[in-house]
Amino acid sequence: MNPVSKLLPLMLMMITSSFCLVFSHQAYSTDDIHQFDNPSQKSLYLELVDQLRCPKCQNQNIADSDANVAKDLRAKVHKLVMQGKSKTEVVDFMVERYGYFVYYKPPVTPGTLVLWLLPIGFMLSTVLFIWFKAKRSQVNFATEHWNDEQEQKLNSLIERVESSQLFAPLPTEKEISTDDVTAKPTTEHKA
Amino acid sequence: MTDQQKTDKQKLAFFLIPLLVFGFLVFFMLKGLFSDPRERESSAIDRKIPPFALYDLMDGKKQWKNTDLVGEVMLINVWGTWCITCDQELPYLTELRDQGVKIVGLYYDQEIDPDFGDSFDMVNLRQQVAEKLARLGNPYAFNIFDDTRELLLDLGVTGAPETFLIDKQGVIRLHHLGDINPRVWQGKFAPLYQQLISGSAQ
Repeated sequence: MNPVSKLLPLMLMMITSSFCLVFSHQAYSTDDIHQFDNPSQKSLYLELVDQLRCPKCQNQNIADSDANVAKDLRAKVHKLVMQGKSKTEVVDFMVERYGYFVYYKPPVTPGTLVLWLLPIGFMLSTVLFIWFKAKRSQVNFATEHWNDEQEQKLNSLIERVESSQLFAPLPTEKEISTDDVTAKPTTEHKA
Repeated sequence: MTDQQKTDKQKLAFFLIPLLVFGFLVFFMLKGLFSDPRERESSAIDRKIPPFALYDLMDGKKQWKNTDLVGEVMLINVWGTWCITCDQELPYLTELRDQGVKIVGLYYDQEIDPDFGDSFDMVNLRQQVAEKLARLGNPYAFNIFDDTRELLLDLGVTGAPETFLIDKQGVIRLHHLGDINPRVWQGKFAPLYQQLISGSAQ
């Protein structure tokens, strides 16, 4: 049995459970109490109770919530839908009374513009950052211009490093006293 | 620009950008830490009390209209006998009434369920109300019984207790979610109330 076929049942389980999570809220939304004249009224009602937010609860739509105010709002939505009101009319009715809080889709206003633009801006700036970084780190040695001045500078740098004692290991006291042959001659120190 | 200047600038950016992002995050998280998630701007403010005609809670023959709420600065207090927090504020509201604040009750009944259309016992409710007000204090000039909760919905009420402060023209000036206690009264209501009473605010 190879590892992939071992993992297969687990993967299947994870996929099914994530599907359940994604679609479970729609199962709650079915409402058998209210009667409708036609299917389009029913689908409009279901769409509205799914997108309107319960003003009493922190994060439930009015379809899910059992709060009294959510029941009243469901009844009101049903009444307005039966009167032939459109989706925007019902949403406006609710927003007029309960503010933008009641609708899960915030409108684009100067105050909420940052909500809409920030993720896009963040993504764009990240892509640009990575692109510039990648471009800069690409050095083409075949076409890269190399002049005498730079050659001279490089040579002087190499010379400085070689002449300095920085990279020679410093002799320990023991090494000096025993005159170890392996210790490098450090003329300056002896002088 | 020399290379030295360039790297200096890069160093500064590397130091400043994370600092700014961090400061920005701290600012919003601190704000979130001390904000009340239930506190939000009410859309009822600066609107007139919507038109209504509803019966008195205790007297089925007496009817109240929106015009009855015009002419005086008053509080409209949404409450119900089922509401536990309302019990907490009744004694303090009674104290306020004794100081001369006019308080009108808007009775929020939960019994009439829009989903089921329960039958409902008015006599029993009046008994409960009378018993509760006798025990905890009666702050109300009168009580309006919103049996269909239409007025409550029009006012944007989310539950009980909630309190509105309305001016002499019947315009809503404050909408408070939750109970009224000395702290809320002193901090939120009293300054505007005094202003409205003395007539200095339009």
